[in-house]
Amino acid sequence: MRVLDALPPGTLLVLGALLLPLARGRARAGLLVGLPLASLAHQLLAAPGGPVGLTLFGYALEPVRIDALSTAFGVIFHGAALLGAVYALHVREPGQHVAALAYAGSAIGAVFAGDLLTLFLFWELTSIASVFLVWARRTPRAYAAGMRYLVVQVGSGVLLLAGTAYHARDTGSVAFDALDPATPGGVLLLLAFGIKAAFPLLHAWLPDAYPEATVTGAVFLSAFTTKMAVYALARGFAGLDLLVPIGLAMTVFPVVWAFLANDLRRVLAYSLVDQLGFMIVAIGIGTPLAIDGAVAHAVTHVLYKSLLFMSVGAVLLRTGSARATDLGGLARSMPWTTACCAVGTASIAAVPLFCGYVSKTIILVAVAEDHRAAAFVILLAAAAAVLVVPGVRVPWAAFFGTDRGLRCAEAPWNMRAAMGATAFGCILLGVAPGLLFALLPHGGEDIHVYTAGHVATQVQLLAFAGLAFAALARAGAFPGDARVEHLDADWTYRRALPAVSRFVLRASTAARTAWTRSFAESLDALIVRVYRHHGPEGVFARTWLTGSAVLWVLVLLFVALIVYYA
Amino acid sequence: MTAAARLALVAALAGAAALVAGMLLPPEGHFEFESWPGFHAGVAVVAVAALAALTRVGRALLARREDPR
Repeated sequence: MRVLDALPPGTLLVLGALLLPLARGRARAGLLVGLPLASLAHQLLAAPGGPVGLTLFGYALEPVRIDALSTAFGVIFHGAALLGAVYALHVREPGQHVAALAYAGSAIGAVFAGDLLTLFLFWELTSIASVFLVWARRTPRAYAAGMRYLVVQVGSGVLLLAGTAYHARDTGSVAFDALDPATPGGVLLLLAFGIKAAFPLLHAWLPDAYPEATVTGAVFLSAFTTKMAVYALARGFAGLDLLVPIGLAMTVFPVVWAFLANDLRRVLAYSLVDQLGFMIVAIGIGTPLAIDGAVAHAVTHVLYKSLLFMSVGAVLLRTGSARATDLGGLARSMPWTTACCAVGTASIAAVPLFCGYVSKTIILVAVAEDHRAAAFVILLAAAAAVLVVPGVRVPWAAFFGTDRGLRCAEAPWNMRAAMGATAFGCILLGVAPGLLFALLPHGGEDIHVYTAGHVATQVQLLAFAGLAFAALARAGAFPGDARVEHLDADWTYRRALPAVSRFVLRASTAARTAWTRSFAESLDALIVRVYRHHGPEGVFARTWLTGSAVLWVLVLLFVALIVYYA
Repeated sequence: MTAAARLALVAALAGAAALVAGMLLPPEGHFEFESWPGFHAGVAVVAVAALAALTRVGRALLARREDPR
């Protein structure tokens, strides 16, 4: 037990993942399911302070800090790891399992890090472990997207380390507490967290990489990286007013891209950014109720977003495609998956009695209590848009829309079990919000989400959003599905930067050629000039009379004597 | 009746019921505008209409090439 006490929560998962390639068949399945459970028990039994007296470069480390905030994230991360492991039981490739559990364990370790150096270690581990979930798809697109993903994620880690160095220099400590955004260290740390939290213009890695991951890899990816960043922002920058407009922008702009995307997993990736916006706004407000709202939304989001990625992943597994232009009419072939997808969309759309309603209501009440009218209206509008994308678009495109004649088997039993359990969680937290409140740092501040007023206004919002969408779609106001790709902020590094680098390369090649030519011409001219003087016909090559030569030698000797005796 | 028509009918009934309930219930919100009749319905309709407009503009401006997959 002493060894276990010294390990931060999550490391059991990382170390245990390394054993997976050694196990076969049921032993591997047992390990896959058993490791998250054992790691959860380890977290719940861990000593609050963890190992003490550790120092690095003279700075005191706190590898384990257990409080209400980290516990909430730790519990839901373990839940996501368990559900993801069940969902991935059919995968025979041990590498994917190792990467998935190591990734989950690193994210858990990060939310229990009490200092910035430990956070950096786990931060980078998540980047390295998770990229294999993209590469494991083994397509050229996945390889390229994974490489871009890795560069961005490691870049975030570099900023985190640089920010930590500045912070340590300024404060003499690497403790991970509230950070000052007015210092260079604070700015760098905010940027590092912002990259992983998919801040506007820093978000493109997410809809770029997640749709290229494996069927099971995307489920894991949807749960950990961004929520780890949400945790870091809640820990370090709660109440930072700048986060409110950033979060509001995140709730609005991805909806358009989500609607336009053809790949349904890309639709979900964009809507993931949109939902993160709600959490970022709440963190920016920073009141106890708002922080509870952010944590609650992170917990419910892990559930319903995993469920949506699971259902679209099941479609991808069975049909070989997740593109809206290829799918439709699968409800009869995959009724279980359809039902689970419906639960996921009801949750993300915040339909009462589903988990998303509870967390979104807490955030809206926190925004209202902080008297931010504009933010409140924007969040209402964003919540209405979420009903359309992905609420209606994903299940419609995959299961109910134009029947393209696809007939396939239902998802494997393990996928159905994972989807069923996740859907059950979405409903359970919706009908019994007290279970969710028990996880929150401030216990939900005694908020009552199921008042007649809240329910009536939410139903009004959703019903009229649905009606407006139906009427506008029937009138042809929305563009139809198309096999096109829409580049986003990644246009800068996938199009503009290569074009600029090609231009610079061409220009530098031309300049080098011109300089080489000019140098060669100068050299030729010099050779000609030297040849003119020293060549066979040159002035120095002429034959002189012996008397003249002797005279010149005498003059030189005379000069040498004068210089010597002077 | 198609599935889409059934869903629209359900949405219309639910919306009408919520609209009436919103008018009859005592105001609960923190802002005065929350108690305006049909405020939430109006926000929803405007948001979806704006989404329709933005997606059309987005498709026209951003759809650059065929998806190679």
